[in-house]
Amino acid sequence: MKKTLLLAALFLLSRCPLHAQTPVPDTKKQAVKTEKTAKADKKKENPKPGTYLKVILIHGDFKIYSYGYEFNDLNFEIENHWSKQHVGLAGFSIGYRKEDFSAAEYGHFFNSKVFWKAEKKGFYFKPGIGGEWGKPSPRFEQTRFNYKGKELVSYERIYLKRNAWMPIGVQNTGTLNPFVELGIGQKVGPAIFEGGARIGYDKFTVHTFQFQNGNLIFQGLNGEYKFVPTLYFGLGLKMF
Amino acid sequence: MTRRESLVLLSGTLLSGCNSKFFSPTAPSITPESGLIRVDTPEGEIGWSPYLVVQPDATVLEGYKKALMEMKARGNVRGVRIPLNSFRDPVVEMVSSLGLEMIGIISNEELLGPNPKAVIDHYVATFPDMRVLQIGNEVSTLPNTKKVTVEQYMDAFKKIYDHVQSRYPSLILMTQSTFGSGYQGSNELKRMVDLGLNPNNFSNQKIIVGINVYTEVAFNEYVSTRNEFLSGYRFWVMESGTLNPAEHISKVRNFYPRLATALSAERIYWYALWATDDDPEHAGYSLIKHPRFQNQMTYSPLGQALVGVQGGIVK
Repeated sequence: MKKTLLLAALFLLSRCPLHAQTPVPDTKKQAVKTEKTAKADKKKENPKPGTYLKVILIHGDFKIYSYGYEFNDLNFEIENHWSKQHVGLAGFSIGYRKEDFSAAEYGHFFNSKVFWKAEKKGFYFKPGIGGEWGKPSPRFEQTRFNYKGKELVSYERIYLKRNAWMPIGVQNTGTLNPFVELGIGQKVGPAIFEGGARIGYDKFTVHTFQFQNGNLIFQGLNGEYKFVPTLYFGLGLKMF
Repeated sequence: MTRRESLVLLSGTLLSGCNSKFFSPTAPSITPESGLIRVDTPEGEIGWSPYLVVQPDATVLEGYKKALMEMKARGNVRGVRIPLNSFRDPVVEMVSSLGLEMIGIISNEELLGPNPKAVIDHYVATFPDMRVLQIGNEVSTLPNTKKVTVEQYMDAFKKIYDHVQSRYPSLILMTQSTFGSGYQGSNELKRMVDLGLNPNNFSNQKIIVGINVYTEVAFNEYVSTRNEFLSGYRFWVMESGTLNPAEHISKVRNFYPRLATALSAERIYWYALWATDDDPEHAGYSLIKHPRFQNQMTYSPLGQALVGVQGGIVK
């Protein structure tokens, strides 16, 4: 999986334009000036506006609190590239992400983001920022039990903080967390290929329990935000 | 690239989503940190929690004894949960004689009586060897029993808790085990939180939260409910299992590590050592069959692995 993402990233990077800027002869100064003015006027226009339906594979492979995580999620997005920039922004997207395909009842997220876009010779660099709300799977919940013989001495549990309203199941057990995205892409005909990194910012809690003769004698609680880094590779098709 | 080609590529990516192994987590491995013990089975090694539900039926006493002795000899049972009669019935005496830890359940009906404190006094006097008492089980959902609303339950539980703290401070109380399928159990648990189940009213050193977990939905909802509302309490899964004996081993292999890891369940009780031979809603959960007649007693595949039986003969 790592290799696939790496190859996809290399493919995109290999096609990036890296030409040095050609020196401008003095005789053409006036013409260049005119061209610059035209470019400045065009600056606020997105060269490839349109609405794309995107399918994105998200791959996670990282450690949090020394627990290793490796997973693949699927994200479906409708991404709108505006014809003109608004407040510096180039477009927005709304999407749906599914994590853990073994269960239909959880692992559903809706996300939305806005993005900026710098474009050159068909390639674009696209940083974005957004938020995601949904019903998580228990992928981030972890426990380390510590036994002395048959006697439970202590355990440490780590879990993802639930912080959002949820209409299905028990209320207020959803999550709402921000993320940033850095993508590089290319448009080929009606399709776009895009790869990059998506980094979530989620709150985790570490809770320790200590026992003596089977009785709970102490608890420790510590919560903090952690970055959740993932890579993604997506394919989009222009709808309008 | 044409629109048609793009569409094919897009569809291919979509179809790859059907590959459940690629997009689904694998069960956590069995390590000492999982809190589970290793049991060899014909389907490979599984992580097992050495606790069982035992029904108080004295007519199957000898079958129970044989199976429990074999399991204990292999370290595969340390404790049982058993509904209590008002006296020490032969099953309780037998379990006690084997040196297994017992958790008794006080029946739902008794919680609605005029004096729950007197009920506790009676049980503490009759079963002094029990360190943990479960107060009710699936109070609003258990079939064939008088239903208790969660409001009535919390009222009785509070009275019992206060009484136990003043008279029997070393006794640990366990809440009713809420329902094990769908959203019902976790919603009821959340309702118990709304009605006062929190460390200000009930010390987390003095009570344990009991839950029954049979399905994936119930599991995930309990994880969320525990994380958000009951993170300071200990959790024990007082019932888990599957009705199909052929799936007993795979249920334990796939489900137990997740209950231990994601829910931090300190213990998981299998339902049940025996849950009748002919009731279609319960019989399949049994680890043993026909325990009334020892020479006819057989084991489910999981039961065989736990007692070390192959082809019906104890090794």
